[in-house]
Amino acid sequence: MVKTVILGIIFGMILQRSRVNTYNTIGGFAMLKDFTVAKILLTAIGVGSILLFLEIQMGLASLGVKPFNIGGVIFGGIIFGIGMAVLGYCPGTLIVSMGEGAVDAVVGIIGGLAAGFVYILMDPQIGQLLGPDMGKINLYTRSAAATALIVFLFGAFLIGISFYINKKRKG
Amino acid sequence: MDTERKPLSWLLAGILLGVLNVIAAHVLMSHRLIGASTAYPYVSGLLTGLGDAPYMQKIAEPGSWEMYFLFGALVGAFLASVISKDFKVRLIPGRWQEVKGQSKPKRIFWAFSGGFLLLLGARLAGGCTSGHILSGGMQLALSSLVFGAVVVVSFLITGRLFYRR
Repeated sequence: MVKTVILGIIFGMILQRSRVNTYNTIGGFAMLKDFTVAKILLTAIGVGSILLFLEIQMGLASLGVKPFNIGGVIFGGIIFGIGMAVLGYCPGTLIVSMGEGAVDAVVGIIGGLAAGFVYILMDPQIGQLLGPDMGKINLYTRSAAATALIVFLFGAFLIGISFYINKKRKG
Repeated sequence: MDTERKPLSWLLAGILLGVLNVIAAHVLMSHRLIGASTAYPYVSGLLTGLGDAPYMQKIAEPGSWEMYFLFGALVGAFLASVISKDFKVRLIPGRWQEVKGQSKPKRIFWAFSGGFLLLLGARLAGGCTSGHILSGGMQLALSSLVFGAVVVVSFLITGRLFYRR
């Protein structure tokens, strides 16, 4: 628990100090005026994918792939995107923004808690709606060498896109 | 006189976030990747006495981990914003005001509705920006890559319609 809280403190500090948590950054992305969200996420996924693969190879971490429920992922993704655009925060950055005094984030959190309550009641009834479940699939292969190549290319590609967006936006 | 500290660059922030998630995944740390959205139904269930509901039992482990993690995030953000002098209690963000004006009820309505849709969507999909896009993306998980693509499209279309002047 102490470790978890410490990880959270560092997470909050990184997001707060990069200003990626703010409405102006996330809402600004929805208005196509700010691309910080895309650049930070693509870089983090790119760097993280390569390091995580190495960590797993060394036996120091394991995969926790989420099941691919086609209906739930697509329908949920659409609703999530709509909510994120009008709110200007996502579930993690809501909390970070509350920490720096954003009252609209507190309102968003209350909306999120209300949705959580509704979902607890809904979950037992919507199994059919979420499927079909394609299982916990990822792009790793049986061959470590092939996976290393895929992961490295994937990571390098995402980091490359970040630099490309950065260059485009300045030029 | 102190001025506001310069923010972290996107590159450094991205690298730190990726490294932090790899540290969280280490067997000696949490042995799990970062996520945030399960904490919402979890806390909601605890507050409303639904602790015994079947879904609450399903999410007990990730729910409590994310609750402590987000508690840390709240503290970390508070400390960092006070030190950097970013801390400020305010309801209406600058960019919202530029497009949508100064109406408080309007911002409150959309913030509540947006928060509701955001978490309902995250629970239907099984994750959010942290758990699906960041952590799932790092694992090259198909569900997360599809989720990320759908969210970006839906987010940008909504932004285009909703913030049209």
